[in-house]
Amino acid sequence: MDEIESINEASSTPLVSQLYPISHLNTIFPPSSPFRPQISTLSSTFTSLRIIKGDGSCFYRAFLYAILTSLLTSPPSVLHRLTTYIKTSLSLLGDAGYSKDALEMFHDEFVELLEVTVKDCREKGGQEGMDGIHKVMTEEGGSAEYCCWYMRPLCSLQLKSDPKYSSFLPSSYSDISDFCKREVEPTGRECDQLQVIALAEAFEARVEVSYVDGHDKEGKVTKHTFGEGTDGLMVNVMYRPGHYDLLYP
Amino acid sequence: MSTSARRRLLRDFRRLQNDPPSGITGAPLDSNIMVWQAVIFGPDETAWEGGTFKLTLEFSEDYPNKAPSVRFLTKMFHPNIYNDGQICLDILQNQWSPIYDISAILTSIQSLLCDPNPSSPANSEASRLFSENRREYNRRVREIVEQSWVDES
Repeated sequence: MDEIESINEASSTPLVSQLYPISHLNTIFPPSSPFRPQISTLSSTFTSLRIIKGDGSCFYRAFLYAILTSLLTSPPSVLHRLTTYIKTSLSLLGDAGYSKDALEMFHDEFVELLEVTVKDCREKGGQEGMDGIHKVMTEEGGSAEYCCWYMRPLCSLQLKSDPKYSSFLPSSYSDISDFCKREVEPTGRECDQLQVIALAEAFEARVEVSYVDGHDKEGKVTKHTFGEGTDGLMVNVMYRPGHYDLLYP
Repeated sequence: MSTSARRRLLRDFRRLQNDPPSGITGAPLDSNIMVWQAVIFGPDETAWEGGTFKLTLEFSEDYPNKAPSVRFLTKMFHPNIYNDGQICLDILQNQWSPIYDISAILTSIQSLLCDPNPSSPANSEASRLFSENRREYNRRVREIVEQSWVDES
């Protein structure tokens, strides 16, 4: 666990790292680490990764990064669909009892990210487009940080939109609103599986999570897939206890 | 984004003026939008009825990503309020979220007055009286209410 903590504490860590070859994980986990057998397995499926800063928003940030880069090459209809989703979300949040005044500036940042930044990066295309997304995603206190934060109320909204989510609720929460208030909306609260499912379904993305827990000596990696991703939005993450990083096949 | 805190505070101010919650007033200092003064009136038909309780709210440039620091200026007697006026309230500490604007913060504090949270005592005497001797607790609250009028003048 020391390895994970040392990553989380480093304040100079970028919000999202450069693209590393998957072998970079060997520098994080020493040969004696119980995580190593599963890391070897991952290395045969994935070629590279990005390390996400561990400040309690790593899943939201990894998810947003993957969505935005996915949008660079997806058909225009996908960008259109997401823009419509974000634009309508503010009045839905208002209907659900949230203060639109409090949320509006976060919402506006998200719309601008899609309508200006993503559009601009799509036009540039290729590496230049990717670099544009990387730049906006790594700016401390920048607009992407506001968008990551806006995903929390979006996640709450999704969880409250369908009673099916309540059946997954741990018994320590009185209802889904209580769960959202304590585990989704506060800044810095990390995503658990329920939030991952809600976000995948809210954004209509397909999220694949490879679980690396250090408990399997044979190196077996459990993989869970959430959401359909029918129009091609894909998010691939590695989960190790308390932290998510982005993976690339 | 050093102006985003100020932008949001202006927005919060507009909302508080256009849609003021019952029993709450608040406004920034003329000289500094990052410091606010507010008054919460004690809810009717409770021991707090008639009280006028002053608070100060201080915001950092990280608002709304970080909670403001909020404290009562009026002397209080309440299980979740420290002697120096600091408030023990989940949304001002580990459950802070930018979904709360000033209106929501003050409304939460107002409801905390009549609905203390016994699991996080900040004033042990108030906490003990609240659970063991409600009559004496209410008498002490009435004293605070009367004191708040004196503070006013």
